[in-house]
Amino acid sequence: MSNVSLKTKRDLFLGLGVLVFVLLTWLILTLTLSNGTATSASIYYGSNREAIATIDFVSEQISIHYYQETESNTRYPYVDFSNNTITLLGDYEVDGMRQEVVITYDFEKQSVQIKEEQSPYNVCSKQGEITSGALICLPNSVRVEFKNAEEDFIL
Amino acid sequence: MATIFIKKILLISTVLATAITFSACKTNEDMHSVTFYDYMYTSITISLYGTEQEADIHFQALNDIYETYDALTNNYQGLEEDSEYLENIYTINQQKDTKLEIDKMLYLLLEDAIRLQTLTEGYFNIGIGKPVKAWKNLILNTPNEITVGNHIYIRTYENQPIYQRYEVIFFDETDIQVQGEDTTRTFKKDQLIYDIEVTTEAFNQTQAVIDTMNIEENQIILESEDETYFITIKGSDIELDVGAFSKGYATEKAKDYLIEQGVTYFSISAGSSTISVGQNINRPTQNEVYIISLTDPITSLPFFKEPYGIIHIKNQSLATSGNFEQYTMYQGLRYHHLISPFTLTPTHDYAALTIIGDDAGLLDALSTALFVMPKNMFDAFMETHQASLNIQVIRYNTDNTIDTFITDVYFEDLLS
Repeated sequence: MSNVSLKTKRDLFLGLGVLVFVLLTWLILTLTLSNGTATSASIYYGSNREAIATIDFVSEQISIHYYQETESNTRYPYVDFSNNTITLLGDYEVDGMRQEVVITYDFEKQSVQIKEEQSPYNVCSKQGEITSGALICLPNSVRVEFKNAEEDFIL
Repeated sequence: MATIFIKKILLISTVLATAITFSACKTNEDMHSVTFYDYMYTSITISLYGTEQEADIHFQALNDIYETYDALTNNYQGLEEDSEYLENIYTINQQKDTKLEIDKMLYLLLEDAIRLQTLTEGYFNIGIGKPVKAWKNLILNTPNEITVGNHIYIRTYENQPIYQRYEVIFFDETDIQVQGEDTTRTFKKDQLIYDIEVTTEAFNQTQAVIDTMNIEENQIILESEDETYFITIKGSDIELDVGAFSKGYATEKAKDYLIEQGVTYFSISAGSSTISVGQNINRPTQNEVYIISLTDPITSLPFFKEPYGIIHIKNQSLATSGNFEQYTMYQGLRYHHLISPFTLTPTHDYAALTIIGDDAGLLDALSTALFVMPKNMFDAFMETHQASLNIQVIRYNTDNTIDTFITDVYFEDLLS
């Protein structure tokens, strides 16, 4: 009788163990495969509502959504994957020439920073590295907006 | 007995584990997005969950829906020479007092629009394209550059009073000096955002043009005989403009298509003023809702959108109207293109309206109609129709107060 009871207890623990394993597996798979809550930063230029580029920190991808209309031979924005930078052309002019805005991104730290920009007070490059909120380069009409899972649409 | 029970648990656990593993391996389903830039003078972004192949088919079908309604409802240009359609809004406007055969799709859209005109006691009106264009032209006539003597409305990122009206008395490359009621101030040009007021001359010209318009005699006659459909428009100043309805109407068709196809996880954002959503697969722990941040129409800047509220929607549609996207300033008031069909001028009671409900077309039309309705009529309309139309409204008044007509939508007021 006691043997049966012992076996029953052992089986019960085994059963519960498998159940816990199953639940844990389900939890892990749900968290990893349901697209999660993607975190990204979007770069906007001018009054365009569409982001010109997006940095997706989850899939570690950079997406360019459209190119700027410029008279330059360089196509903006362009991505330098070796230096982790995205460069676009701002509206601020020096001697009649629009100036570049260089944005650095760090997939690991999930951060962005305005590395280079020309403007009277360099407000946005002085803000340093951010992991939330926004960097606004007013004279350059460039905005980097950190988008996390807090909202799906802004109206 | 206990052993059998435990064996059952083991068996169920194994089956569950296998099922979960297999379902997790079905990784070819994912979120897919597309943006259409060519329709209805806006961008339309659609996201849906499915396989890539399914997404391709759906996006093509959705493209066709928007393409069709864009062609039929365009009031700025006629149809392509090889178009399969009979008439569009532009060509109808060119042929007043003529009975024209039109496509069934356009007929049904117009029939719905007329129904909404009756429902809103005339506050939704598709025959006022002419005065709407006049106000849009005034908005486009806003000076781009400041000159001495201009009036400007200054908005800054600092905690200063916003929207103060000043007269420009001096400016150079870096500075602007302005004269307020009792103060003179100097700003660094790059540190502030300002709206320039339209000139009195431009404003008066627009008002004079509006004063000559008469829409009281307008008539839109829809007729159908044996599956053939006709329209006749009459009136000296009649000009059809279904822009306040077509985007929502097409979005409703797009939503219907996705639901018919069994797509449950999707979102359609048409120009950010009309949204239709299913369930949100990215929020499994938040009841699969979509979270919408509502821009504060008073404090937001072109580069900085500050929210005044947050709402959650699921299997619903939403439409917004506001005075903060396309407008010009005159004597302290924002002149936008949402005009009262009775005064033919923009109204100033509300800064933003958000309407949540089922039918995106209805919501699109109502967001315009209610925006131009005086408060007492607005409140009476909600009293009478809120339940039957199943709509919920958040109203941001120009006096900075917020009124809500909500039954079950989650709304977080960030200002209170």
